Amino acid sequence: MMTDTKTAEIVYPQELEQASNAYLMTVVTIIAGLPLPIINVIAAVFFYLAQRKASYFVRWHSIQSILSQALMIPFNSFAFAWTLKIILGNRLHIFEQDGPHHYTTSSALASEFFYSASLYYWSYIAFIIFLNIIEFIAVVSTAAQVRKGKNVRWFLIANLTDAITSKKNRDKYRI
Amino acid sequence: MDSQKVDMYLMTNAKYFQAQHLNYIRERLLLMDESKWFMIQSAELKDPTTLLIISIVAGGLGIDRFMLGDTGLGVAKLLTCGGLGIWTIVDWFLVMDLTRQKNMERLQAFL
Repeated sequence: MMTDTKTAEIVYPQELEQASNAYLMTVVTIIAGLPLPIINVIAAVFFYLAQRKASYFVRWHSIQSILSQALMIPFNSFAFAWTLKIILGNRLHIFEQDGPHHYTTSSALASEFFYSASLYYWSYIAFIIFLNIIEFIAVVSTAAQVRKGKNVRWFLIANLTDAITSKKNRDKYRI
Repeated sequence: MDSQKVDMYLMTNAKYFQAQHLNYIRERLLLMDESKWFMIQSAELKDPTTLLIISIVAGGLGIDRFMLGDTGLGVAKLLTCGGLGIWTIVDWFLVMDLTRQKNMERLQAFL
């Protein structure tokens, strides 16, 4: 048994496991739904909805888990969309009507920039993979540390989580 | 109710409830009338480990939700093929605690 220093609330060992599951579950869904960048966020939201009546500690970590996954959505979605555009781009190209052309400094068509697997594309994909690996390791280590009883607070996200999470006790059987 | 009886009940059935609720159950059972003892014993409690196995094996069909008594959610899970697999995975991590919560609700009817 430990005490959450922020709320002076007693945290039971079983709650540590529940809180740790919030992170562990997202890791599993990342692997299960790998090409789609949003599945882990949906799963994290489902998990929170199921834990609505849990203790503050569990709810806090569920919300931090959602936010930590949501952080990656814009980066991953852009990479996903760009990849789709390259794969489908050549096929869809014939359906496009001639519109006003936008030229970049390299005098190539701006619309064509996203149609080819250029060096920019591969650099971006490498950056995204690197970012995801770092996030993956951070989530796994957070899950392990929370299970051991350490209240892991992510930079900035934790403050946002503090503001979002309701401090009201929702467990009617708690003494 | 007799404290020895209550402690024996808790020792036998502790795994069916969440640890943080055991104090509440003990207090309520001690205050309770002896005549309700048979009703308490007849309350059907589900084993969390069994439900976890069912969730892993047949979670995609919503069988775990049906067994917990959430028929509506079970049908929803069945029709959506386990929420396209996402709901099934989430439930693997939730089902043990959900079972303990449902057991608590079932017992609460007599407390």
